[in-house]
Amino acid sequence: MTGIIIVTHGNFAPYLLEACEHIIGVKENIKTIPIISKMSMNDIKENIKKATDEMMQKCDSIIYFVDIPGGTPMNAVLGFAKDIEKSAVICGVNMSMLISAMNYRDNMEFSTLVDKIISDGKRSVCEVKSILLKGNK
Amino acid sequence: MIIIRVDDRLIHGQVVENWIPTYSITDVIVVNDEISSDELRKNIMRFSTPDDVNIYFINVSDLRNLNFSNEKNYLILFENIFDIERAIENNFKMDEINIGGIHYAKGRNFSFGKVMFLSDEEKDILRKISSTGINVYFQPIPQEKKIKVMEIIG
Repeated sequence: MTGIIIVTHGNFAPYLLEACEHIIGVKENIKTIPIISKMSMNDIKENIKKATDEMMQKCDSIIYFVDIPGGTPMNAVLGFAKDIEKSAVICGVNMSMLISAMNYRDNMEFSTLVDKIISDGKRSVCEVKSILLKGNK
Repeated sequence: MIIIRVDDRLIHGQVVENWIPTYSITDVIVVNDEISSDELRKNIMRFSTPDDVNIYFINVSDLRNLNFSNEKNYLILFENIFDIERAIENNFKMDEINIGGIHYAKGRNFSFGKVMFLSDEEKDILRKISSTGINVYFQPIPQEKKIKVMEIIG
C-alpha cells in the first residue's frame, strides 16, 4: 500500500484530512504534520522522519502532500523523499487530490496513481459560475 | 444492482467521491418533481457527476416506467421520505432503502448521529414502509455499518 503524509503550514493538514474523512470515511496509513511557528527546522524534520519511518514499516511507497511549492513543508519533505525510491511530493494539496489518493492508492501502479491524483486536483480548480450560470441572470 | 438512497443533498461529495466509485455506479437517477423541471439545478448536478456516469432526472410518478438492465449499477436518489412513500404507492418495487442524510428542519425533533433528523410523521412513514418487509437502513457512507432504522426509531 501507498502511505500518505500531509505536511502543511499550520493546522491545514489535520483539518483537510478531517474534511475528506467526512466524505469517504477514515482510512489507514495517513499521517498529518502541521507546522506551527514555534517549531524549529529540527523539530519539523524530526516529525517528518518519525512519520516516514513508521509509514515505511507498513507501506512500500509514500506520497507526501504539501501546500505551496517552495514552502517549508516542501523543503523539509524533500530531504526524506529523496531516499525513498517509490515516493512523490505533490504540492498544492486540495480535497479532490487527497480523496483521489485515498480512493485509488490500492489499485493503481504508483506513477499512474500520482498522475491521477494531480489531474483530479487540477480538474477541481475551476470557476463554475461562468460554466453553470451561462444564460441565467 | 440498484441502490436506493434518501439524501436531501442529492448529488454531493459523499455521493460523487464515495458511493459512485465504491459501487461502480454507471447510472444515477435523481427522482424529484421540482428538479426534473429546473434546468439550473440539473446543470449543476450534471457538472458534479463524473463524465463516465449517466445522470437522469425524473418525476416520482414516472419511476415505475423505467427499465433497468442487469449489466448496470444504479444509484437512485430521493430527496425525502415522502417521495419514497409516493414511489411505493405508485407500485415502484424496492427491497432496501438507504437513509443517507436527512438534515435538521423545524419539526424534526428526533435525531440519530449528525445527519438523520426525523419528524413524527416521517418516523410513521418509515415504520409503515419497514412493516411491508422493505429493509430500511441508515448508512451515510459505505465504510460505515448499516443500521436498521427500526432499531433506531423503534
